[in-house]
Amino acid sequence: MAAKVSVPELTPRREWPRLLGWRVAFGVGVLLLWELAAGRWVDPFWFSSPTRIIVHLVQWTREGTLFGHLIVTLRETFFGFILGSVTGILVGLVLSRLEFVAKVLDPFIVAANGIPRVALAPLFIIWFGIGELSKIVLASTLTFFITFYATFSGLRAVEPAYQEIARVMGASERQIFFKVNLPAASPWIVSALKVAVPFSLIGAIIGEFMAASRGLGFIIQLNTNQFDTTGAVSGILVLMVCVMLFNGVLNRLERYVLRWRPRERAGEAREFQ
Amino acid sequence: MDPILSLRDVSRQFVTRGRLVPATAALSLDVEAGEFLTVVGPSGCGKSTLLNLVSGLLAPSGGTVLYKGAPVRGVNTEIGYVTQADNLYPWRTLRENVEFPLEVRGVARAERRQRAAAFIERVGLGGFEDHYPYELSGGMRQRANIIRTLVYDPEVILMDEPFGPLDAQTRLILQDQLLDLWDAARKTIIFITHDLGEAVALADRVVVMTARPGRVKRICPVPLKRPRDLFHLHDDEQFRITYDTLWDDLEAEVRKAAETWRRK
Repeated sequence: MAAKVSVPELTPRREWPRLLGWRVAFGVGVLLLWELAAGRWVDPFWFSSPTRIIVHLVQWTREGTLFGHLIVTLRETFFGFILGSVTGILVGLVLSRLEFVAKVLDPFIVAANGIPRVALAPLFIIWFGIGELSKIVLASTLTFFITFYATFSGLRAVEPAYQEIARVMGASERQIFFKVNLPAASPWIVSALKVAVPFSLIGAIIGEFMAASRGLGFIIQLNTNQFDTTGAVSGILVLMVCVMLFNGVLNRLERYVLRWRPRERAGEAREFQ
Repeated sequence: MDPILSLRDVSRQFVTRGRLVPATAALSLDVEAGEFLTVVGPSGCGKSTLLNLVSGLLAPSGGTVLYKGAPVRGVNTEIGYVTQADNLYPWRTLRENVEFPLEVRGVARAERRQRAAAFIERVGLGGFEDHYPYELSGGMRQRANIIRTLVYDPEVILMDEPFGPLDAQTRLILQDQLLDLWDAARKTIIFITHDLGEAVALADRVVVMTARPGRVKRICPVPLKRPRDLFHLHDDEQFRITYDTLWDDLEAEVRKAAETWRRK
């Protein structure tokens, strides 16, 4: 019994330093190879190089450009994420209770989710202006469907025995919903929220590509148009770092919310999503 | 005294793949308050259906289920149900699981804590209160599952092969603990098992059910005095006689059930 309790906790902890070491080694290796290749096998005018990017980023930071644009994109991403996932979860909760309505709406939801967001972006800019609002709405159209489907399916997949046993123990329908269905669906919802964050960022960037005067997407677009690959790649790298940081925070959150799940299973979701 | 529970000609059918399959037919049974009743029968004879009918989770297709003289309509929350799979909520710790029925019944936090803690200590789970189900062994989970039902003090407790998946030694320990708990509270227990030895060891009366559609074939009182020493019961003359008598009945039904399988 004692062994069963301690094993799942020990393994990932011991593995962690080794994992981090190899990850850093991989990242540095890729950058070194790129640096080596630039000027030898490929023309840095088209492909830039890590040293150029570092110099560029330092300069951007000094001028204050980077922070100014970054904060705009992050704000759009954040509010797009909140708007889309809150409405997604709410609609998921409501439709999971209204079986018939859900069936009626099903093809329309599928169709709406199928719209390429690139096609929507120009419309949103007409409707909501070239400011941050159009990007927030665009980002939310991505995060909405991710969280909606997860919430809806998660609530549908609740083990009926969990509900029946609660009913026998004297729980009301309302109590079953809050104390059984919601926690049972929480792994679905949490993993959807995790997936939704990078999608929200994608939505914001697509919006900025279409029409904007600020934001990282705008900067990447501007630099690409001027054939400044270093500027474009610098912007992309900043985005990549943001996604990595978000994911780190979200993993922590996930591990806390889903602390009742065996580590190995939580670990699987962590490493491969 | 009036029986606390009685089933009168209860039948229940299920539709599977468009075919009507009777699980029980004309099942009649009276359960006295405070007795420990065990039910044995061949697989698929509707033992679990019986418990679902008694708890009100299933409505009978025919006949009536009476609880304290009144027909059961909807889920009867004066009854506790210990299912075969432990069905502990994986997102709740052991303590939170045991407190669940008290929580939904609006028992104050402090009292909840205290009542749960008493049961947890009693079955030897002290020190594991804050563990989640995945961190507990099968035997620990099943004990938690049982005390989660006992903690709200239901009049009648239904148990569906609660020790089925456990190893022989763990079963023996849990059976012993269960008898202790029952002895202290003297609630009515209907306990389903496929293990005749377990049925005789625990019961005041053993019900043998027929092969599907299940009905009562025989009810046999167990003349063993209490408290019983489960660890040495197999040497007991009375135990063996009761066991052998019941086995004759059960064997016939098991063979009948096996025969219908072959025909399919």
